Amino acid sequence: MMYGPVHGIGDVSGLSTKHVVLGLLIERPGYGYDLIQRVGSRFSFLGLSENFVYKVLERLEIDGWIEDIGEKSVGGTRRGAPRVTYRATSLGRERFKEWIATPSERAVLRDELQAKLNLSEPDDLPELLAVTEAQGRECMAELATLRRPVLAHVAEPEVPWHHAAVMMVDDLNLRWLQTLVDWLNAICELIEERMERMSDASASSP
Amino acid sequence: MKPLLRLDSVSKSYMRGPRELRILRDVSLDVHAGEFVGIYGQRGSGKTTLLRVAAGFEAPGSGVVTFDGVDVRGIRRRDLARLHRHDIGWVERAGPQSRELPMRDYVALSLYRAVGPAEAQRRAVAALAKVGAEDAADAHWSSLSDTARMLVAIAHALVREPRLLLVDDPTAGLSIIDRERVVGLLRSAAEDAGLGVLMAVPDMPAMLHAHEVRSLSRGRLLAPADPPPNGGNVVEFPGGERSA
Repeated sequence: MMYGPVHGIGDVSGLSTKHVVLGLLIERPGYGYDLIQRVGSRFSFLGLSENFVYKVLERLEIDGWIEDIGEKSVGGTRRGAPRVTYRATSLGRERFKEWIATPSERAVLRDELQAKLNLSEPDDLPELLAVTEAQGRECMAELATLRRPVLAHVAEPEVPWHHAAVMMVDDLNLRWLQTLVDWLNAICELIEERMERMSDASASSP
Repeated sequence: MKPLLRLDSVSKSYMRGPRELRILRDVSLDVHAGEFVGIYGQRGSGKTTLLRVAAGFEAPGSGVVTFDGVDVRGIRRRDLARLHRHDIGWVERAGPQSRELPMRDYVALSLYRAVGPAEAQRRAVAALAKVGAEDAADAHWSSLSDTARMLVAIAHALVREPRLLLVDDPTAGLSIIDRERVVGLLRSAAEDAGLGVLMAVPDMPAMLHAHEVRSLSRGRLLAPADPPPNGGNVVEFPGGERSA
């Protein structure tokens, strides 16, 4: 199996795979098998099955986010059915913009932000910058919910091992949070630099 | 309560060739007496500039810095010097210029004129003992470990009994346990001695010891988002609601 573990439509972790497929269709129209290949080459970390991609397409069409482009070529799919080519509707484009601007659940932040970075177009950068900055602020708020570490106690034999273990796990959470905040800050810095250069370039061009 | 230190819409930039390099952008921050404020920022985030502006070592490009309600920009040089001598403690990591100086003399130096050598020495030894660096009293800077140097630097800043303490990256190069010791010391300077303490640090575990946390990125100071209603923390497996 090429595309990792099989997922049902509701059981992928909180990340919105619907928007990933939608984003690919905003880039250019495509048909089922084509999208499976694009998902596989650019979003292999999501581990989506072929079946799942077809189900997502079905869902997207029912919701009116994508539409059948109307060019059917017989025998296009490996199943011999007519191949249906989809494109994003204007409603779909709107929903995609909203998704870019919506902060992700912390548990799927890394994957979802990877997907957003991957699918954004230059005109999505302001929303991407704003949402990334907001996620950084959420991480700082999360810092306030963590316990103050006293790792010095870990080394003290009088402290029960169970307590020591909890402190070490807390320490991992903190380090993970730091890595995340640093990554988010770096993304913001780079996007902002790029936006400044884009506006410099457009100001200096005749 | 009136803040001890207030930065109000402070900006600062330098010219690098034809381009303006904005180091601080619209930074506002209060530090009260008895409060330990931590600023998280990586290299290049602007944290050292922020501390230098807060200390009055550099003037802001725009915006206002007040110490105890007084606009630092407007005061005479002599009064600013007095502020640095009495009220604002800067934790200097570079150590003494003279390599021959024992640490008791280094820490005592700034008090010589005010209280005389004997009393200055006595206070210096007491300050070193207070931070747990009494062993360093007769040592030279070059023979000290990074931890001992940081403790001496804190004693050097505390000996004049300032009201505000400014610390740049105090945990650099320290072991996990020594980091806690140093940051714990800063917290107790705020809680026990009632100082306002402002620390900038690229180290998340150190931030947890502060009463207030901010993040500095691209010269902007970000307040944490409002905590989520469920009290925060990681939701490991949110429902399938957001998936297709």
